[in-house]
Amino acid sequence: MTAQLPAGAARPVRRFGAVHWLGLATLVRREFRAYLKDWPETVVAPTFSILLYVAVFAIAAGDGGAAWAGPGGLLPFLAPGLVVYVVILRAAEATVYSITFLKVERLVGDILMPPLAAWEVAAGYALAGTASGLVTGLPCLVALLLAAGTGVADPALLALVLLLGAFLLAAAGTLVGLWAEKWDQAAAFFGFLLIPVTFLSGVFAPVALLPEPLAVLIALNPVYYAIDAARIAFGGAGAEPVGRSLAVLAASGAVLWACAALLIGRGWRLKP
Amino acid sequence: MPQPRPIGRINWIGLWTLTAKEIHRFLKVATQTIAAPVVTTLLFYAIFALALGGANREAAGVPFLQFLAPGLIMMAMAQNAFANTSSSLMIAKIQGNIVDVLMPPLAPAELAAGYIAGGVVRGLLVGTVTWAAIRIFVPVDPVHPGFVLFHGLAASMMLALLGAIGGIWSEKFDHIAAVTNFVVTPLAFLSGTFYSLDRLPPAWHFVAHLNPFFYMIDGFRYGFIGVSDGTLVIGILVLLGVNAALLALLLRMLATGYKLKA
Repeated sequence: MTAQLPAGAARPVRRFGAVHWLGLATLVRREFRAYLKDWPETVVAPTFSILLYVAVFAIAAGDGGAAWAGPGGLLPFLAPGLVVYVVILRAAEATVYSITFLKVERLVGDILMPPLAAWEVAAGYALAGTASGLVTGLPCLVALLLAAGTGVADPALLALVLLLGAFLLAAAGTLVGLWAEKWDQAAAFFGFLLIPVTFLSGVFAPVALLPEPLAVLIALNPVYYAIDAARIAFGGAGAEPVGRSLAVLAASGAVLWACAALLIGRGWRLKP
Repeated sequence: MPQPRPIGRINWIGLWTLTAKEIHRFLKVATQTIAAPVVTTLLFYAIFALALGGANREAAGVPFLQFLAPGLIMMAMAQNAFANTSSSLMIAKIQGNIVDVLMPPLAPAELAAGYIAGGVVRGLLVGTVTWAAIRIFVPVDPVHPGFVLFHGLAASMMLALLGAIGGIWSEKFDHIAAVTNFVVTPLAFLSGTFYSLDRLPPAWHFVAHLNPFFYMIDGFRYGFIGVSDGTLVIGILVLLGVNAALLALLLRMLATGYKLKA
């Protein structure tokens, strides 16, 4: 395009509307493609790991090992929590590792230079992370449904829960990516916070089995509400009203995304 | 005119330098290489205790939590011994600084020994810290310390060897991640870490006995609780045999420069 301009002519100013749709779509596409390119690691491996967890847990439980699971058996209890776990873990990994990579490799200019507003950058990461989480979740969901021999009672509710859960963790992951300056800091978020808290939030056993003070702390964790609402969507019994769970997920996702937009705008740990 | 430095049959300085480098490498990021695996293992322990450790539950004739602890400790050791050698070689290859270990006057056996020592030290360190942490909540003490020590060492060495071989074979991070996800983790999970073999359908007993990981966990657990699923002598022979075979393969790879030298 530059070559067609006559010498000395000023380059015409490109105008964007309130939203720079082209730039936003480009960022989302770039992030989502990076995720799809790694499909053996980002799609196949999580499904495989989940089936492994389920097999080991079911064998170890044996007959009557998990009386709390009810007459339906263990697998229908495990399925909703594991689907939520896979979706949110992948959504968080997508944003945390992508942003950490940019910072460690000093490529952060790639997202600071283009004419994208801070909130558009935050939205691009959050949307790509959400999509990554949902795409990874789908084969896991199918595999778990086949293994458990059940169906989903309320598919629309499940889709909404997974969407909100993925968005929440993609936004949280954006914040962690901004915070982390080294790979081990990024990894620490998963090893010391996300995975422990999620595993204890009712994936493998009802939260009611936890000791009292821990159960109260877990109830402050939005992921707990995602797992509980997913369990209701599968047709199981939840402990919380669905409406409140969805509200908690939507509100915390919106707050974290707004924080990410604010910090990107300030260049926190991005600009010197 | 500088004189050539004479090196005896073994280049002790070089071997020690490589070993020290391998150990410093993981100790520098100890939160990721020691603390995180310990936390993850305790988490698995807590979940299984909560979900499946209900009143009077037993496996292999001992309380479930006593049964579970040695298996989990062994699993953590195995995964970390593997992770240490595989990631060290992999990163060195990707970043191109593998020449730093190929250029010095180190024979294949010395290279192998240095890398394996790093993996074994990390495995044993993770195992010891995990044991000490579990010990706070549940009294699990070795009844046959010799078995604990032998199987801990043999298993760490086996996985360090596997990691070194995997790290040399892999050309991209995806390759080594695939080996971890699709080979090492399933073998470790399905080897009786979390359950006694009598839980499996009889047809699967034979399959379980083909998995070398089964013998390392079985013998290690025998050292703690005095009960084993398989025959201990066979287990020891399998571990010695697999270690010898893997060592021979690694030495061959290092001697020929397979995927290391142009």
